[in-house]
Amino acid sequence: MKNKILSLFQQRPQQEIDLDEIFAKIKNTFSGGLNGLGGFNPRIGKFLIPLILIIFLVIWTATGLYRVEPSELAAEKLLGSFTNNLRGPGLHWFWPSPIGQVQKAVVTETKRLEVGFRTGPGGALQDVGEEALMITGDLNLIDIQLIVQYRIGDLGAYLYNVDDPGSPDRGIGEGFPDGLTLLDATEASLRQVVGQRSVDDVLTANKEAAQVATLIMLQDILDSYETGIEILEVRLQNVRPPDEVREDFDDVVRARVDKESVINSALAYQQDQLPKARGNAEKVTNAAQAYKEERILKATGEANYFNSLLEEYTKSKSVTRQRLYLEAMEEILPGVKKYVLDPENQGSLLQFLPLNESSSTGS
Amino acid sequence: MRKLQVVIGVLVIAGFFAFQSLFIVQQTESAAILRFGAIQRIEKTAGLKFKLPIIEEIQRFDNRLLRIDVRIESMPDKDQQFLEIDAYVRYKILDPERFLLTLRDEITAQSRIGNIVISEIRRVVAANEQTTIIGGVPEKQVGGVTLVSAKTTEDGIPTREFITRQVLAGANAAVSSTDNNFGIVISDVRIKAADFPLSVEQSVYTRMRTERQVQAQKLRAEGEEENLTIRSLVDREITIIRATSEKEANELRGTGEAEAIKIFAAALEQDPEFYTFTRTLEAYKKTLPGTDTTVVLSSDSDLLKYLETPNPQNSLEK
Repeated sequence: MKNKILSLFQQRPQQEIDLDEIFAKIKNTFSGGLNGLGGFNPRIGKFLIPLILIIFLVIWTATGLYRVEPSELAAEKLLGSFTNNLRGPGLHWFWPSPIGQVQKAVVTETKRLEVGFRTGPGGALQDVGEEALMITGDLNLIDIQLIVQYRIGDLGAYLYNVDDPGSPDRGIGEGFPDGLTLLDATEASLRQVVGQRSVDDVLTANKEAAQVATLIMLQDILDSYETGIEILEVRLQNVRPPDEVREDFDDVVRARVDKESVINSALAYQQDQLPKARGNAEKVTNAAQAYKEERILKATGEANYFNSLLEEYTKSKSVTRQRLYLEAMEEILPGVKKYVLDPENQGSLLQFLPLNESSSTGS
Repeated sequence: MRKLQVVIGVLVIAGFFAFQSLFIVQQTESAAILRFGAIQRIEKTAGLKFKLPIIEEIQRFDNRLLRIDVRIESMPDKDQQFLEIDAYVRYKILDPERFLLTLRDEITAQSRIGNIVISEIRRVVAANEQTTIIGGVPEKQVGGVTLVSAKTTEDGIPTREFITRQVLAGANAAVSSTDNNFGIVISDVRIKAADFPLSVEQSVYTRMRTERQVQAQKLRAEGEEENLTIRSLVDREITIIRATSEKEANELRGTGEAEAIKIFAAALEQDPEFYTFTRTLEAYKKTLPGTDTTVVLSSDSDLLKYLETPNPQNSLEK
């Protein structure tokens, strides 16, 4: 029974048609009651009419029961006029049609608007070029795909303040401002914000700032329209140069990388060459140092040698001198050709020399 | 039974009149009550309302914020450069009587108001430069930092926002002028898009392309500049390091030599003659053997003087 009431409620018909129907229903009930039963027993017929009326009234009253899901809120209208009552989750009663009307909407859900692209069935992304292409402050063209996340903040305002053709592709019916009103305001905000910035700002450096600026402007516009929509996030999903110029933008990125890499190679050269040069310098100075030490040590050694010799020599000069001389001769003479001459015959020395050797020994 | 039928008959007639005279004005509506086409009164609030049956009719008006999507128009700016302006209008019906008299319905309103707004936009666009229409100064502070763009209002250049406000003011003046007096108020006009016409687009792309090419070239040249700078600095440093080390090496060698000479000299000066003697003998040892040297010795030399006699006179006197 309860389910039946609920289902009756959920298929609430339009009001004016309803008046007709009810009227017809009453008429039928009356005439049916009279023709069908009245003829047999007028006493029953007398009670029948109020009984039918009471049953009808009870059923009609019962259709005023309605349930609000945990994610929903319901707005109540009495005779077309919004009561300013919003009902939260649970079972409620309100005047059934035609006196009352209840409008429910999911308010906890975060909804999403896509600008510049659409997510098709199965998650396939489709570009919407004319929405995405816009002019930046430095008169460049840029493709921006954007996502707006929002929810219904004020259901009363959402339902009754703004006319909207709706957006069937997103499942938004006529009269709900998150249809074209939201799209209009988003496009106006985004393009104004982008128009105030340079293409590089939007592309890379200040994407965040652009998002925040768009969100603030969009919320301001929606608030001025009293849409009851609360913007949660504006996200620049995909910002890129148009296809026609993408190659050149990419080349700038590549050039930046090239610049880095050529500088890095120079830095690598620096890191490689400087230590080597310092090592070589150390090597050269160390060699020189070694040479210096060597020279000094050698000199000291030889000097000491001489000193030692001299010391002994001074003790017995003549003998030592003679000994040194003879020792030297012993050492030298075995390896050379020797001629012994008597000093008296010195004048005719030449005749002893073989002529063929004179040239080699003459010097 | 007859009595009952009379009651029913009365009820049916009463119901019919109630149905004819009672009507509901919705939250989103207002209603005009017309008698033979002439407006009697306006119901501006929602709820259950009355009218005279049969002779009075009702006409409903949307009292929400209504939307007009203005058609895209190509229009010249101050410098005769064309921009394609896509705008929308939000308006409200304030006076249903005037609205009904002048515009009759929303469809007519859309084209009439749309045209007025377009001509206002055309006027304002023609008075401004392209950059002013596209760009502007943000009027907000975000996170305590004022976002500043190249185009400012301080020196009298209006922003896009400012332009749309001019359009709004102009359009409102037009719709409420004595000629029109539509009974509406335009709450907002926004330029959704100000785009280049297709014919200009290609030259914009060309400009963008060359701008980027210059940028890429500049980056690469800067890279090369830094590369050469770093490398030459490295080379310079290496040269200095090498030269310094050579300088030090030579100085070391020099001081080594000097030290050695000093040590030698100090030792040798004690008896130069003895040094000459010993050093000469050393030189003999090194130079004479091993070659085809022929030495002619005198038989009365110190070495050979004993060869002929064990007692030469002049030997030990020296």
